[in-house]
Amino acid sequence: MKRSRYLAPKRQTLIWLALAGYAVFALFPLIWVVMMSFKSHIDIISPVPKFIFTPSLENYKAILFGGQSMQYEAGQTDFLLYFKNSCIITISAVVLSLLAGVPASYALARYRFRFKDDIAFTFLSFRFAPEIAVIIPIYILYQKLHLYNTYVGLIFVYQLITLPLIVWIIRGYFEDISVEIEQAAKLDGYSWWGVFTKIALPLVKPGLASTAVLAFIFAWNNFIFGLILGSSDTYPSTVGTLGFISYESVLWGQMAAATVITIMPPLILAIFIQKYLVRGLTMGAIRG
Amino acid sequence: MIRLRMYRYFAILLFIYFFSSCGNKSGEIDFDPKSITDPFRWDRASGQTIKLHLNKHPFTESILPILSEFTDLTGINVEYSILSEEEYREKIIIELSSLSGSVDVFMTGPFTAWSYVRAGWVEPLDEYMYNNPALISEAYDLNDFFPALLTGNRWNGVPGHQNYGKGSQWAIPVQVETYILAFRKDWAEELQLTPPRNYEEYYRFAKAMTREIDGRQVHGVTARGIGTWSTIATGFLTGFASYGCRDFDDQMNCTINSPEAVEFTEIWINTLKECGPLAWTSNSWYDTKEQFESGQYGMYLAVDFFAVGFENPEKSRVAGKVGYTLAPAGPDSTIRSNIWTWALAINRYSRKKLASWLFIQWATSKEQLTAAAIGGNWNPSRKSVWDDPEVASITKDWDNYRDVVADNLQNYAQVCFTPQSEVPAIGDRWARALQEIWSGTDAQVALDRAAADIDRIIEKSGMKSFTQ
Repeated sequence: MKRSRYLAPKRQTLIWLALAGYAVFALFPLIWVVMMSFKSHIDIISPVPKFIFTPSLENYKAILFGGQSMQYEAGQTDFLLYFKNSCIITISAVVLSLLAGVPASYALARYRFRFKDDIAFTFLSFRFAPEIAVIIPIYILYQKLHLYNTYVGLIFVYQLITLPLIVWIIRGYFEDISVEIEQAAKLDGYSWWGVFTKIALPLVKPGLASTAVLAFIFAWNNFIFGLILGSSDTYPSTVGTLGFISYESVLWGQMAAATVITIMPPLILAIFIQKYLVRGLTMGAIRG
Repeated sequence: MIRLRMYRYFAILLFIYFFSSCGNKSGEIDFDPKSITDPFRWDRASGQTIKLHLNKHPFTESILPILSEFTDLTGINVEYSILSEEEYREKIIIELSSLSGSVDVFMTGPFTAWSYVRAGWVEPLDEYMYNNPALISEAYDLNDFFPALLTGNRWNGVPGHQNYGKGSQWAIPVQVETYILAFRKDWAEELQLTPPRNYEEYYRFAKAMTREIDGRQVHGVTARGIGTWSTIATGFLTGFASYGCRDFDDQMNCTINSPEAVEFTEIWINTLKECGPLAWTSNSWYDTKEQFESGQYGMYLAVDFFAVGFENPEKSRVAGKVGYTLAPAGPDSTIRSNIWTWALAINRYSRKKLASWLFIQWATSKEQLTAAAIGGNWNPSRKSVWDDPEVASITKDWDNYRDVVADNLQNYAQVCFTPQSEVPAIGDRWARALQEIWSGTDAQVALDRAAADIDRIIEKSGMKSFTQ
């Protein structure tokens, strides 16, 4: 007997319920943060969690326009600067990594040269040690090279996060393209640059997009480099968000509002290129 | 070949840049304050730029808007970096330990400065502030500071409680916190209870307040309980010292497991277990403060100036319902209160020490500290600021807060940790022992184990041999 493609209604309902249950479990912290961002401080610290409350934009107003300063507890007004810093540092870091990493990964995938595997391994080794293990030497070096508290310095150090990711993932995508296609292009008269830009790059475009987004998310969420190698002018929003922990209280509402704004860019980016993201991530899954 | 040559040139250029930038800094690390002899002037270091590393604190918030006044007065430019407390502490260690002089002035306090002092990262201030008319303005009245606060920021670098308050002055206090008992006055009246005067009464008071009100459980007491040294440093250490206990003896042997220490610890933990929050071991100071503000807790032996939050009706449900009293006394009627002060210090590797000192002097002057107190920097470290009518009017509705804190500062407050450079590591271990006891381990067993570990920390840090 041929099995139906469709599940029995009862079973389907159960699966739907299980999935809905998981969705609530997974999304609840996020929903709670969004709700907190619209609550007053008294509602937030209420002993019985409040689901129904009078929403207010006070927290957003405070972080975007400043002026919030409850007696004693300082309000944060530099959030927009930190957000701008995050955008500048992360976007530049990812662009730089793509410019340097994509040709590198193509070379590692296609050409034979001395120390090829050593070089590939070196890229990977950037991710071996936790950042905190290397931060003091980098800090001293940055002080001496005047890279401390500069965008250039932070973009440069963010390469430790984005470059290995881009080189290693994209290398896999290039390896998956059949060599014959490139050889055919060469026969048609393309130079190696032509093959790279006209044939190889368009073929790995979905992979490129998904890797760039992943690199963006990793870089966007980084904390320790911004904390140690930046200062008040260059702190990213991950460090800036902590500014809502004041001396004797946490400004939960403002912190939640800042979190909501901070997660917007990676979220929007992920939604827009979701199509590529799924394709890109599964692209290397089947090898011919 | 050409490529190899290019690499070489690049390496040489990088080398030159690296080392030229090392020496490209003005000013001397070994500045001698006595070398200046002519009369005091504010503009003596005009044109220099100093870097401040500041904790996110009301003092910081109050000083930022008026930094331009300092620049106008002295011609010194100021750059600053601000972080919340935990990140601040992590970053300042990296900055000081790099010995790069990247920060000139930073915020610290007694226990944290002890480890920096021992590492040689802090500039002693004695030659700047004592008997040096060339470097101290006539209006700057040193005797105006509460004596306990200056004493708390002095140390000779030798471990042991007998060395407390000896040696060099490392920092000037801008703020102080002591530990007093805040309690629900309305509940106490309702239950006809008087505030506890000793730890037996403390337990009974908490027990009586733990009950149901309108079907909702309320608790008699709250306290910090996370596994870090801040759990030890506040209410617990205040009670511990009042009870006649010490963390170390004269030879730096850990004594947190002495019979009286075990007795006090048992009372403290039992009170919390029977009358405290259900998730005490994850209670940070933010949680405790908010718990008390939420109106679900009866008593809190903690930072005095949390009253600012308790008494703010916009964010607290207990405004106007809180009474304040000194910490309960020990068996021999002794009362002690630990203190913490945020204070300003100079990096030993700063190349702008004179400008840094002028900044500290300006920021800790009567005028600036009065403005800071009015801006929310509690409690003031100077007596004249405490007595300022405008400052005094801020606390007028806070029950007897003002009298209790003044009494505590004048008569009972002193740093209750033994001076040594490992307070955070030792405090963390000690706090974990309290958590173990709360979870059911026998107090003597848990404290014996913690004391053995603490002895090892002291031994390893070389502080034991240092005292002998």
